[in-house]
Amino acid sequence: MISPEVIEQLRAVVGPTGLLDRPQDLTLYEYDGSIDTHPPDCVVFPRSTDEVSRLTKIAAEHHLPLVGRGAGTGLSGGVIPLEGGLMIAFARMNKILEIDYENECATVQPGVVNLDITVAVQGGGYYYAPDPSSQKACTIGGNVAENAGGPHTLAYGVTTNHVLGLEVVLPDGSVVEIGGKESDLPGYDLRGLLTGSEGTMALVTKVIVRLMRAPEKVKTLLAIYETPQAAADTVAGLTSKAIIPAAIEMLDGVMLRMVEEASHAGYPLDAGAVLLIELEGLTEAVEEQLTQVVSVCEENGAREVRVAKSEAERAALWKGRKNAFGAVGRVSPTYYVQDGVVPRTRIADTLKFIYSVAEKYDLKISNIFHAGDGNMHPIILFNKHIPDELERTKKAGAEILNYCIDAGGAITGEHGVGMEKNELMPRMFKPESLEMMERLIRVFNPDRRLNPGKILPTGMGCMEVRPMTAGQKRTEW
Amino acid sequence: MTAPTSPSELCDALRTCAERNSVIETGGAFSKPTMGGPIPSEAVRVTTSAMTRLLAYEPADLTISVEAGMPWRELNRILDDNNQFVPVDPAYGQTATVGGVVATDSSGPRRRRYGSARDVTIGMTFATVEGKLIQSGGMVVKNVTGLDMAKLMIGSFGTLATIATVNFKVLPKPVAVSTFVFSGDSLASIIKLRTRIIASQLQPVALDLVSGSGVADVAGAKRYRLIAEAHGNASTVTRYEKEYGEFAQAEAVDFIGLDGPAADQLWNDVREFSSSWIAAHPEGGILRVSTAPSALADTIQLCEGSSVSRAALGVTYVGCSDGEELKQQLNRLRSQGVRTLVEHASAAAKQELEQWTAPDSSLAVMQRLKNELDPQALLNPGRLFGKI
Repeated sequence: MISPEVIEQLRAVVGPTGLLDRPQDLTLYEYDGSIDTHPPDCVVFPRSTDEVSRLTKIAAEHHLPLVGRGAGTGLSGGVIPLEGGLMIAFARMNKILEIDYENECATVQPGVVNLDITVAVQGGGYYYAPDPSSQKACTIGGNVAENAGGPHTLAYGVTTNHVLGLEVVLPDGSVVEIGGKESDLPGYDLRGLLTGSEGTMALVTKVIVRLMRAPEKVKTLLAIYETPQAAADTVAGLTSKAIIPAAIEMLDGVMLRMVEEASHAGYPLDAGAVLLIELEGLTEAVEEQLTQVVSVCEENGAREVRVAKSEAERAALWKGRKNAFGAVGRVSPTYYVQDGVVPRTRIADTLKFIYSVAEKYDLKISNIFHAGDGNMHPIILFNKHIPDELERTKKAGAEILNYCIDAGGAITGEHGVGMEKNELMPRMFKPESLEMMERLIRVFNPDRRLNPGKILPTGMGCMEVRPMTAGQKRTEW
Repeated sequence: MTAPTSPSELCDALRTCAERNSVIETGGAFSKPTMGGPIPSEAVRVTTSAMTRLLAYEPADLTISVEAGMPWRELNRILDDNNQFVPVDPAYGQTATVGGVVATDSSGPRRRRYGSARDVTIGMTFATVEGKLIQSGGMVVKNVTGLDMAKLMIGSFGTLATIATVNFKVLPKPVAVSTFVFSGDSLASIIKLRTRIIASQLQPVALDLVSGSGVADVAGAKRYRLIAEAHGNASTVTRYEKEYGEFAQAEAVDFIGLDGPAADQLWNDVREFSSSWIAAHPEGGILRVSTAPSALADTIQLCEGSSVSRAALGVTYVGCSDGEELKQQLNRLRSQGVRTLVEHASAAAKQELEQWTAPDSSLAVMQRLKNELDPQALLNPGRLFGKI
């Protein structure tokens, strides 16, 4: 609980319409795109960096837990205020402050929606490369916190590769400028450390993002297979032929039937899997690559390869992909999306394992994922009203992530650890590495009031890491 | 000099030194002695140069893991056998170790397309003065599991911990590579060309602007040379040649295309500008100037003499012949508010100059990080340009 006096101090900063503290309002801020919930005690909507700083100072003075929130589309519980307290929502800091084509960058406030950057600059022939599936809703501040990815990060990298500068507010209310339009400023790479720190070290109040030249030619094709194995073999085949498309997305049979029913994208209902492959660049390069890609698809058993002939056809293919989670929602109101990563050569056996897990726990699991970089997204469908189904879902999820770890992979490729996978962290890292993360977080956030309970396993607050249970294997490399 | 042969021996070496309160100078091949701030002479040297193993390489996964002491050229040789490469092209590439390249975040002309070490490193282990081996990231190309602690090590000049192993994502080599040189005596024309190229569809992987003489000479070239590299296939490279040629004609500058050994030699000269300059001018040095790319023309005009600029990025390396010139250039640039640091200089020159003007609001955070990892300030004290 926050005392009425403190609420009034907060209200004085953001104005009468900039604060919510009625229970019925707070329930709207208790969840994100994952499955856990917890309400904040108060939500504030600052309009400027100065207001964020003043709010943060009030929170510090009264030892309030504090969490920043963008659009709440995250998939690992990153914005769930686990200990209640103050939530700083960036919905009113949603301005694109500057578009600077000459320096190939844009300066934006954290509440700007990812896709709105591209929309604002596409007339000038530019775009913002990281494109998470939630890009129509998710905000840039959240993208920086989670180091968001997306289909097109295969060729151009994730958020951390596209952030040139940051302005952040530390938990003590101080404002720090990091990087900027000038490259190679001396000192430690704080923007690299903070990007992907899941809101545990600082609140982002301004971001300078890199803009990229939009490609001259884009070709999108759909390769249709009888089995997921053949689709996975195609991905390996492309790599071995030195072809790196802009995106390679895979949908398995379960998934593509749900998508087709929802989006009518033109996906075949009877296929075992499809690959959605996008090539972009100069016309000559794309044409040559297209021929090569079609032949690799066919060599690996594609029964049909459809090349989108118009922008409308291309948009339809992508609509199916980007609206996939909505399509799943039509079939099952509750589902659990995972984000494990495996080396690209392990995609086929990982899929096989996922199907065996579905059978073992009697669950429906569909797969839609970034095949080009081995970033799996099994979606476990469950009904929370069936006794023990949530329990089975969590167990199935854990088995899949353990398989990814044993395959030499990782438990999250782009969604973040949050409060969803933090207890699996000791399977990825030895105690001393987890302790180091804790120490670095505390350099910025000494009492861990800022977004408590995220990334690290519970118990880490007192520098303890629970030992692994017997029989678990830790990855070594 | 201590030369551990494994990450665990490296941990032991650092811990032992720290227990004795010894100042430690860490490095790989120590190939860049003129770079960074001076370190107290009583420092104990710990080198990773005996840690040279290849730990994992799966060409089909496009990833590789090596110990920090592996020579950079050896890493390239291993990848070359599979027609792959790490697309970072640093100076001192023939002598530096992998750990040294990463610790200094050295990069080269191809940074335009491929970035620097921070963009290609997917995992790392590093040893702390407490003797602990810390892991960040892993062996997959996309990974947000835990803090990206490797970023903190990249470019830290070994002042926080010592890099023990590094994992990279690698790329297949391009099918066709070609180099184009624009040269002219008018800086304005060359800058217009640069802007046109950057805004065009024909994106180069490298775009450097070389001014003055003494480095990267091309027969018959004029005062300013804009050098571009294109990666693609045979037909795209042909298109680059045709359209870049038209760009050159519009600005009335000379234009030639280069391939094979001539192109390799030119890029080698550009890449090694700093190392060749400091070898030829041991009393002089190299200034590193950071400006917004749009301010490049002003910067080059301010810097008299020889320089190489990453023309799309706005970073310029300026050669100074002696200590006096170094001081004058530095003062001139800083008095104009241009962010400038002394990247290479002799020990004597470094004593007299402020190598690095502090970043305003973030220095305190950097010092807190240093304090957390190395509270006794034993690791490479002063090397991060004399401040950390």
